[in-house]
Amino acid sequence: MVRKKTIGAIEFGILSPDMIRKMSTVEVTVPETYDADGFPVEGGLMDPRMGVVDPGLRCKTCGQKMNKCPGHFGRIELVRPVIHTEYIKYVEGFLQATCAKCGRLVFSDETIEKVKKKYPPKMRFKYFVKKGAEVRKCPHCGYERPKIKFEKPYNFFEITGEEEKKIWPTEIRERFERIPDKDVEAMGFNPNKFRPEWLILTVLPVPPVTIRPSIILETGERAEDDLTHKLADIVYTNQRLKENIDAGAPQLIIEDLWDLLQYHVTTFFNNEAPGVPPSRHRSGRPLKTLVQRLKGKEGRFRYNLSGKRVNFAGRTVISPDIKISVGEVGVPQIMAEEITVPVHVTEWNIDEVKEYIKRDEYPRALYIIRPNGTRKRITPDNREDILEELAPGYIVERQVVDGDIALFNRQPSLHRVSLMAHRVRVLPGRTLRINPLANKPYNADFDGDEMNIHFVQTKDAQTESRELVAVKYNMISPRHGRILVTADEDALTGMFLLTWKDTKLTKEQAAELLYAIGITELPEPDEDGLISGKKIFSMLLPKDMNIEFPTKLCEYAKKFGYCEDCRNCDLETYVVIKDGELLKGVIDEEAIGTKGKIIHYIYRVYGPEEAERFVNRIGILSTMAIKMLGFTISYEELKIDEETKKKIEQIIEEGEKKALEYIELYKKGKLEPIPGFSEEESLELYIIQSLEEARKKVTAIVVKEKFEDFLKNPATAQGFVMIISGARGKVSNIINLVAFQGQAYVREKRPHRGFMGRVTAHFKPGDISPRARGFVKRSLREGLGMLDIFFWGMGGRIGEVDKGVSTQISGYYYRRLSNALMDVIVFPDGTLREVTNDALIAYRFGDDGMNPMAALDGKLPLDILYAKMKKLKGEKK
Amino acid sequence: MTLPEYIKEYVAEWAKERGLKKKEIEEFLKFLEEYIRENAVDPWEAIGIVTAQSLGEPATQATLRTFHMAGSAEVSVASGMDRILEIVDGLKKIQTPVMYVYLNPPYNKDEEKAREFARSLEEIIVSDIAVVKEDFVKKTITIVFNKKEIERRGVDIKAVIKKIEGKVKGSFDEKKYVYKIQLPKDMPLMKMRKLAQSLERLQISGLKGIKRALVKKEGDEFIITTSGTNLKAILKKKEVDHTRTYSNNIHEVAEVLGIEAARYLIIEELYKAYMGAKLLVDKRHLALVADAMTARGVITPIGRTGIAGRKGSVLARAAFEETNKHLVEASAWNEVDHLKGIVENLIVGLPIKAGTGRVKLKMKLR
Repeated sequence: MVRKKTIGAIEFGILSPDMIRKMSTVEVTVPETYDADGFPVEGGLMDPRMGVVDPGLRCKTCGQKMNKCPGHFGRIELVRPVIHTEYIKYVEGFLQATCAKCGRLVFSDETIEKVKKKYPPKMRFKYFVKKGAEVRKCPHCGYERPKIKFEKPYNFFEITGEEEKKIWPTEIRERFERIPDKDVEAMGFNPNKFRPEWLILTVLPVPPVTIRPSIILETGERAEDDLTHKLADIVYTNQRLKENIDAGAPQLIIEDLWDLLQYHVTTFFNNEAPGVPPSRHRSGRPLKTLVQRLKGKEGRFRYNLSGKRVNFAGRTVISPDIKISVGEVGVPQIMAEEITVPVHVTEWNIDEVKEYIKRDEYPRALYIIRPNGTRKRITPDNREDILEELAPGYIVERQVVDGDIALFNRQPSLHRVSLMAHRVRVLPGRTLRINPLANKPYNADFDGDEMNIHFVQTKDAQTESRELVAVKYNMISPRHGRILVTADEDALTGMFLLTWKDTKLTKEQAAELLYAIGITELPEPDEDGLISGKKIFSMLLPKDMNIEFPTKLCEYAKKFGYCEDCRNCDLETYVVIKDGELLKGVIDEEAIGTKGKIIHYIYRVYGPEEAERFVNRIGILSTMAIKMLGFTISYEELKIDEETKKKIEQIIEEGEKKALEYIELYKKGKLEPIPGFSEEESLELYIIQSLEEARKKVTAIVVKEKFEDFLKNPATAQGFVMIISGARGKVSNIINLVAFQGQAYVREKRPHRGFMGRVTAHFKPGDISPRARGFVKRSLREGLGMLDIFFWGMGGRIGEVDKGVSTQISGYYYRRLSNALMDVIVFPDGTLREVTNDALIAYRFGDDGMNPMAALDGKLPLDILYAKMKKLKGEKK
Repeated sequence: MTLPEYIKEYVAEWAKERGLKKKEIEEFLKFLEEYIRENAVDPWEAIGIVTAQSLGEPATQATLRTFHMAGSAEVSVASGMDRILEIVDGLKKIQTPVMYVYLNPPYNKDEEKAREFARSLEEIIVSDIAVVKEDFVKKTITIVFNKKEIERRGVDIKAVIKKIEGKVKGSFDEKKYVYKIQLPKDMPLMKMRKLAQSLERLQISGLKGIKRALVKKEGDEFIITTSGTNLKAILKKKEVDHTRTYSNNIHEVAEVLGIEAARYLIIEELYKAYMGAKLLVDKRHLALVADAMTARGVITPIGRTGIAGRKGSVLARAAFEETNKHLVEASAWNEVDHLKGIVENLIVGLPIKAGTGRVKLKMKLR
């Protein structure tokens, strides 16, 4: 039996020259790779003993073919040693801290012992290097130590008096060999795993061809990997050096070649080493050598190891479908036909599985996997044989069908609800379908967004997906406890219109709405034979639900003095639900929005299943309702009557005048500056203040008028309905449309840059009046002038630029945060520990150990919890 | 477990509004206790990553730049992404160090007294109220005082002269408000320049580091907000209510009041920064960040120089930043990665040791 092994730990260390030679299967001596016939040269860099990359050939070491052979190391025997420059810090350290003559650490044995006791390994090294550099006389042999100078990137010099003498790697190596093991250990290293002389390379391991495969271009030419190129440089230089030494060439030439060899070896490891010019390809592109392969976003670690590619996944455009549950995902038929899910054959399901195999059309089985692991495609020809062969223990891969579980994801995956498990609904068409109420966690819209889907393969993963990752268990955000999967935008508007006091539907209309959500009974009609929208909404509520709360509308009502006593308000501003009957109040954001009372009530009192059902129903109901009742904004709606218009104009005029007065005062030098600000700054503040004040006044007037319009007849103020229901838009949007645009800002200041002393050529230099600095008196309904658009465009442009910058900054912030905190895990005793360091971080998460999902906006939702308690009590009885 | 006091108060207030009876309240409190226990974070939950997400996701929506409310004469405080980064990076020099100084009676009710005290806090140096001029030929240093500034700041000129005289002797012209110093002719220029500079920086009154102190009404009392902090000095003042006085400088608080206070401050300041950008994050998440940053007893920044760079795992560090540095060091020091954390296991292709990956199921055979 094959014994399965898993990695328990990974030890890092340095290869000794002996080890490199033992590992090696070839000594590479020839810089050529392939001969004229296209066969790898013996002793060359593509020697087949180091593994094979061409299909069909066999490895000369292990005898296996391309995909099986793991590759084998070779070696280059360097004629002259060179320094491993990635470890230059340690080379310097040992040179400074040890005696060139006797090899001992230049400290007395007592000091060594003392330091060993006092400091941990890494600090010991630092200590010895720092202090050792100053020791001029070896305490062990009395040798007068010259100063050692390190010149970047990899040269060392001994300074005796005026003279500087280079210490060549041979010399360094000899010195390091003299260092006794006990001193290596004293410096904090493990002498069995690390000897300083190993940092001076005498033999260089040649990585297997499998990690540097050559590719064959369309032209039939062979293109070698960057690493192979670099290795060829090394072999070539090494050979030349050897020839020159053998020929007894002058010292100067030998030293030059030696330096060149050092350069090539340095760039072989790291082609971005500081102070070393990068080695380039013939085309001028810098070579990607070992460090470059590992480093950075596109490096091995982040690109291939921290993130892995997977099978059984799909990606396409998304589109909305209100009729599927928020817990479902619509999968296009062609995708479902392509992707399979394994079914383990047992004696209990064998008949069912056989049905899949027998079928010719869509839900059919595509492959079988035998217990020995061989996979076979099911074709009409072999179908009978397979049916015959099939037995428990086999695995059948069948096409995806309704009810399978899939993970659905949209990038950027900023939080865990960016990936949730949905049940599959196979649908016609070519897009992935999602219920628009489940958009918020993904931050998706349908303007061309694409999403990814992963069909979960193993039983364990499927179960986990259904029980933990499913949408219904992730409706609440762990960030603040608000419900993310619920009505927004048009769904809120629709519900608002439906539950408004004047909304009455005929029996036929009511039946149409209710039937769409699967209710086949009509509520009792009113005396006039009509059914109010409230009654229809009540059909969704559990019969034992009781709750009261003010609506979003209440804010406005209070502001304009319409309402003092909430409970007796007849403005629809107070919701009363009694025994599952909506008696009063309109349903808006406060009821079914992200922190809505009703939706939280249902989720927390009745559970996630009920909440999912409820959300599905309000989705359909509100969509149907908004279609039935109609919703639009007309140009008429943006008009205001002449009288108010005059009033508004007057206010704007006044604000501008006030600003101009300040400018006058400033010019006379009589402006009283705000403490802590200069006169110029104060002037700006005063101007902005007076203009914003005007805006505030205008806002009050317009909102009041619109609010009154709305109360008279919501149909004449539908834009306001959007705002009040919390669907979309802000009051300021209405002001901009109806009254005036106001001040344009660039980085919180009035626009001021452009020409000297003026923003555009339309003004005199030095003109700082509101008009010249981006104050726009016209509204969007009237239409903006050229300058108005220009001024407002300035702010818009800044916004776009800032968006690009801030995503980068916050992206990096997020990466750092998650890397810092990812190993913090809750232990069964409730403590938080960082597992890589075994460090205790906190005794309780957030002091009370409570899951933030159980709170709402950081607080306990008492109303709802009280209701829950009551309900539980009732059930007990 | 008993409920913390603040929850009890919160519930009591809520119950009063609803007119609940005492028995009902007690029953409810008991229920809440149970509720909190039942809704504890799950064992083996990778809560760290949840916290990181809860802070990182809203940050993508935060506006980068500080938004100053126009026209207010208040001490400005950095907010938004800038401030968040400042906190998690554990910066020693922050953009806007601010203190909220609460006062003991009678200062907290009397605006005049509060204002007077505030003025005494502001650090005034010579260059605030005068211009120091050097004459390298005649070897004189002249300090020309600004009468208007002196009056505005309520500085006693005689005390100033005394302070200066403590350093060098010269003569004061009361009419012109000029202080003239004649230096010996053989004084080197370097020395002279140094003297002039030290005169410019000479502290006349107030506390070191406090640039501005403004009186503000908060509720029914007056408090002082300062730009620039010096917590240690201000807590010694008898006028100051040291139980409530607040500094937003985390390192300073850690030094003066200890690491637990700093932890609390990190939570508060992060909360303010997030709320200022209208981004709601449960305080428990902020507490975890603060816990992680203070668990070592000193402020440890997030990031490669702090927590993320001190992971016990080579692979985790290499996968974050400075890949080659970590691999080279690990090999030199013969480090072993025991694959205890999350990414290490991801890298080698094993199930992660958190959540459901940490537990094993056994079937109970009857």
